[in-house]
Amino acid sequence: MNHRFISSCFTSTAFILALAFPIVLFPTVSFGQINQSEYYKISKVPTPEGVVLEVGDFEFMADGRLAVSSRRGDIFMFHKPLQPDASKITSSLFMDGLHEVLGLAERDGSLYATQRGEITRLQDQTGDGLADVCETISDGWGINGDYHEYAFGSEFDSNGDIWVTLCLTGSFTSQNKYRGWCLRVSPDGTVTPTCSGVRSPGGIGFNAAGDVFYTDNQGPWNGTCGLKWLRPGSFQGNPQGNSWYKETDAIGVRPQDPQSGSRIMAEAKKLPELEPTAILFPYKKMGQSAAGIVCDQSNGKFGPFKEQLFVCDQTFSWVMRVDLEKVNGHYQGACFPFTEGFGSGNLAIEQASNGMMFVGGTNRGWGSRGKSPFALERLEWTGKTPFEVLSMNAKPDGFELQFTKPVDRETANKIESYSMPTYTYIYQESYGSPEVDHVECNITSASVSEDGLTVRLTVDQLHEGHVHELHLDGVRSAEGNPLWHPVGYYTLNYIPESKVALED
Amino acid sequence: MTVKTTFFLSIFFAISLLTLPALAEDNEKHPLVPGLERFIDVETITNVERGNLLINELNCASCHEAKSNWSVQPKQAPVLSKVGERILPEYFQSYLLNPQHVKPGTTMPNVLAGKSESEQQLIAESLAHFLASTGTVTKQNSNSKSVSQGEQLFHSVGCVACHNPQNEDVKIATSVPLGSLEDKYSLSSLTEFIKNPMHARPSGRMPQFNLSNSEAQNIAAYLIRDAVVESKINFAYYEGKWENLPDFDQLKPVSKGTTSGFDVQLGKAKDHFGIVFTGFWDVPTDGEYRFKLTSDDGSRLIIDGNTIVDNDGIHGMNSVEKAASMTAGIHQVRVEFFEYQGGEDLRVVVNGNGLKEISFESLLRPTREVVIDPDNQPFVLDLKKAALGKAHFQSVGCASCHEMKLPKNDLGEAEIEVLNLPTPVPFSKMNPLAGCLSDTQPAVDFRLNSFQRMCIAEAISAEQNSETQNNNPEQLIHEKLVTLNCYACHNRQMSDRSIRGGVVDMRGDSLEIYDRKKWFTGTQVEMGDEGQHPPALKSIGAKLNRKWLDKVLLESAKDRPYMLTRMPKFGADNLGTLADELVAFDKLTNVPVVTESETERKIKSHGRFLAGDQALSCIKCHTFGKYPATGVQAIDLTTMTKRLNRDWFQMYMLKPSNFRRGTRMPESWPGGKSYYPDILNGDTSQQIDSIWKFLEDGERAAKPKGLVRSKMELKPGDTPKMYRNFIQGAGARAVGVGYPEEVNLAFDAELCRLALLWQENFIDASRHWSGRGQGFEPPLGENLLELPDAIVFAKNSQPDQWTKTKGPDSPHFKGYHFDENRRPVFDYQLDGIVIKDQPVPTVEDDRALITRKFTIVADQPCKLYYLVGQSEQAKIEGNSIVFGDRWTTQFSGAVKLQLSKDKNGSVVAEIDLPKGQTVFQQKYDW
Repeated sequence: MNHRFISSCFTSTAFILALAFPIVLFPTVSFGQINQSEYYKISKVPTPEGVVLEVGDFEFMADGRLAVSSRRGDIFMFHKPLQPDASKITSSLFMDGLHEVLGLAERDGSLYATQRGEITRLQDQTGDGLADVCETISDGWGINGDYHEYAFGSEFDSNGDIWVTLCLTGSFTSQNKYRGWCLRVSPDGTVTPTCSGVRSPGGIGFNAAGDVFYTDNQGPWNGTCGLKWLRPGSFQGNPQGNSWYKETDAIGVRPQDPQSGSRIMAEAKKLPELEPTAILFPYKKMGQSAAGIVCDQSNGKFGPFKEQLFVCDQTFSWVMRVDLEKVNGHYQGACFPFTEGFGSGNLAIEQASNGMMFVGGTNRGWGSRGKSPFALERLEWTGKTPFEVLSMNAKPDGFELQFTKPVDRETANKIESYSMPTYTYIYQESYGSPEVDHVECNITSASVSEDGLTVRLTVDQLHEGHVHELHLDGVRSAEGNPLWHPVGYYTLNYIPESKVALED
Repeated sequence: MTVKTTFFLSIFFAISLLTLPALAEDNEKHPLVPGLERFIDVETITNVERGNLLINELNCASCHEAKSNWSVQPKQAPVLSKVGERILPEYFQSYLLNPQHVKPGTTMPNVLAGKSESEQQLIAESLAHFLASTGTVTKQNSNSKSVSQGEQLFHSVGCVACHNPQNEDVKIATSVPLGSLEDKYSLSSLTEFIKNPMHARPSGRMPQFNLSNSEAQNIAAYLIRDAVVESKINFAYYEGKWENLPDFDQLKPVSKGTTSGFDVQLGKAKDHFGIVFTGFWDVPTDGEYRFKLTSDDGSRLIIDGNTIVDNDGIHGMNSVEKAASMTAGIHQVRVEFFEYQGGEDLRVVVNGNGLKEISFESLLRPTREVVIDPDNQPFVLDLKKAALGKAHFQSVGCASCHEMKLPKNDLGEAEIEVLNLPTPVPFSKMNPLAGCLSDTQPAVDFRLNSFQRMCIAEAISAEQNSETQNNNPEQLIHEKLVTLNCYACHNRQMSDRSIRGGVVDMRGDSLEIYDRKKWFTGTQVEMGDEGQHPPALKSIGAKLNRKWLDKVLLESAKDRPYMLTRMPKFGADNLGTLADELVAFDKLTNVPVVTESETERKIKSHGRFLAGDQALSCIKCHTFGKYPATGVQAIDLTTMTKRLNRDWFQMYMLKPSNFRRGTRMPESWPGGKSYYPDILNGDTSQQIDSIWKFLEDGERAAKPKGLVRSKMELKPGDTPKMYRNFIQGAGARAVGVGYPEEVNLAFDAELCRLALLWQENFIDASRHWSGRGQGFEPPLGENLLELPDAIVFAKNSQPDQWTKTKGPDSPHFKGYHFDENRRPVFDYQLDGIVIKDQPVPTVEDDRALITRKFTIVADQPCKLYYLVGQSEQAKIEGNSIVFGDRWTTQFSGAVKLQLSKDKNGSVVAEIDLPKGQTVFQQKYDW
């Protein structure tokens, strides 16, 4: 696909449309004016001829090959994936006939594949490039043939464990063992139930500190999609699978069921096990189907967003950016739009040591903006830094914003340059939720730091449990440019206490 | 009266009102108008408007001369012609004496309030006889199956949108009261009422759902489930497995008793039972009667020992109708019934000689003679009292509100004392603190609460001051939606952007209204609220084309098959000019003008592409005629152009959430931008219109790409093809192997068993590789052999029964490796025994067969039991087993192995394993 063509085409279409019906355009954030490819380049990676490679996950092998698994059960090895011209990358079959592989992890030359029903170790003992041993490491959970019972596997954590998140049976029940749970599986196959309350995961990954996060999708008990922290022992919010507490004492006794129709922070106060969603992705603003997660560990080779998380969305065929912080011992933070225009529904994402990211997708069963049935693409930073909100941190009386480039003091000092509606979602057993409890958060001051990289916003009142949707339409860079993405969504589960108050 | 007076009124009522929460205590006793309660806290609605709504719904204008300040016809009182055929005679008197006590929330006033107690009794009794003289109605019981189906219907089709749920103790302020229906209606009269409520209540406040006869009957049965109905028949209940009616006289019943109807669910067993019902029928006149016996399974009707209708045998709901001549007098009736398995039901209906579709049980009694219960005296009509009642019907004012055609039988004229009905004062001259609005002695006692009196008084005062009514078009629409309670299901955004009504109250804090959410359900739970809540009415006049708007309003609709709540119809007179007003008011602005740049045929072709799975994938979530979607099953694409306006479609597709808050319908042209620059010059509005044009062909349209799943046959190449997935007969963890020799197998990794063997084609992957991949796929080829579906290996002792229940000693799947021909060798283990299981295809006489090579390593000497197959016909011949003419299997190799067959036909190999390795083969020929 010719992205430059689309972008320029869009710019002119947008102009015509803007004349024709302004009402449609203005409420939406329009990213059309800035050309994404100036900062980040998407290139197509050739996939094997005749193969439908609906990418399920990625993993780099120790020798630099990139393993790519698919929903159809294949695993291909991509050779020299980091060479400058992505169109020259070649691939060869490693294994086929597996059951919807949505997790790959490498250790000691073996590739561990999370299939629907088990974790399997694949080895190529003959060295011919094809796996010839397919060994079941663990099948410590149940499946019954319902398509919804997916299993997403992580890479190895620092203890050598794979984390597996298990989709419920359909949207509303857990009919088989540990459906709706996260398990840790050690190299010897020992299963440690780790978290309950999972609904419908779309991806799993680590942050820079090694804590594990997964995305969970809109549905029962999820008003919208979110990024959740798999704090060992926690309950992730959906009680459908809680009957399996009877099978294990690994994370204590079954917590009380939350009250349907409540708000998640109201319930979190009653249920210490409940880990509130760290990042809410407001539905249809920040995608509709959150999926794979990767942390930028490239130390600047992928741009200024060091150690932030990058999260795929299947429906929007884009990648979002997440900046987390810990408040009161819980992760929360902001999400921002990032790169869009991928070929299919983004499901998996992986980063190479040189900063390049690989994004793979499928739109089978769930539609996506990207029109191809599957896609494998490489995302590279061009070396040019976009003007963006780098981070958004909660303060007792507002937010502190870091920017990637110095701001224009005049526009950034004006409170009129910003607006911040807030809202939350109903925490309920029926499917999804509209945005509710709308309150405008009024910005009372905006002050720019000496270096122009930080803006401190104070507000009249912060709203616990609300998404604070910050618009920065009026802010310009010192060079006079608007932000690439003049919007961020902060999930304010906990309001930091003021230090003065603590000293009292 | 002046503006000052209005102000005074407010102060006056504000004092008497004290605070709003006081209303709660009053709730049980005041007439309930849902539109008033729903918006009681909405500040943009004035008390004058509230008063006008009340004046309309209480039908004040039927007595008082008044200007109409409301655009909906007043709520007419129930039609009382032939009310005796509808309402049980015992009901009238107590209701008339205190309507608000018998049916809290009723809008019927107490017209006898001002009279002495004895006078009240006398008038109420005479009116009761008069009303009862207009027809007869018989109490019938409802059967338990009908009740449970009715419960489900009542709580899903939309009854609970307006009424309180009946299976939970929830009282919602906007609920229209039902009263004690079992005291008021019989099963058949309530069924008739529910089927066509506007017959008795023409104003459409209770709308007509298009319910089938049995649906209406089930709901009625549920609503009168507590009715105490005398026993009608005797029953004797038997258990046993029969394929035809047995001779019950030779059997001993499990239980006996009396019951009120042909209830086939009175026993404990779900299947395999029989019931004999007996009773007596006092035939009033000689004549021919037709008896219809409908049952699942068999039944028979016997009168005086003669079989009248025979409907024997195992079958679904099957009807047999026969006629018989009966003489007047008492006859003995016997109905026999049996149930084999599955569903069960029995209905006996009588026609002829003046009877029309009468449930036979209503005519029966359990004993030959009539037994009179002194505590439960039936109502006996007294024509003299009825004649008196007829006079009172006029004198106390019933006739002012209730339409009634007098019955034919002449009751004669009763002489009554002429009561002084005060002449109603016209609104223009009324004192809004007196008359019916007096808080001490109202002229006609509606039991208005103080808030209601205040609103009505303010409305009257406004009329007296000729204050102009707010007759803007939006208000006229609102008046209809609030009066007909459309807001119970639909919300509508007002031009000030506030949202009125809906299942989930968008005001957010009105918890009482929110409470109904759980009774709006659907079959596509993953569609969320969109699949369960009736659509928002924002821009509805622009959304639906005029023809469809009229159809929906006048004939009701069922365009969303996944939504259990149904759209009822309200009657053309009650809707008035609503459709015109919606069309006039709901105008879209800034609709892009579509300039066609290609030929019609090409445009349709683009539309077809865009709707298909290679582009916008509309068919992933929407059905297309008879073709299901691959994901959720949202509203049928082929109905779009039939229902919608083209302009609305254009605007909706651009940004669906502008019209449906929180919709899951994606914005496929984000910010108006097209992802398809090559189609129609990348012009968004042309692309949207191309989909419209394509859909205009309805079900005749060419099928969008990807709609029909095409076969994806997997074929082995030089080496075997593997397929791990849900394979029918091999479980959710099946490992399919297709060998180049055209023989295939499926191994069940969960139970560690070879599950299936077949020849020729391997498998079709399209089920799992298109859409979400739900379900189990059967093998594609021929000559399928299914092997025992159980755990087939056990160590040391043979299990009593070979089951699928796994235990710690059950074999565990360890995976597979490939041999030099890239054939898998399966690996499984149980308690110190490691089994390598290598199936190898062999070709004999052009047929490919499978031989399994077992290499078993035991850590100590032990016995291994292996279930080879199960068939009563199995014959052991040396080391071979012949399973009839279906298949044979043969063991060979250096192994000590003993074959045996038990009484269930299970053929088991007992294998002596020494410490170390044992190798043997098992060949399958089938």
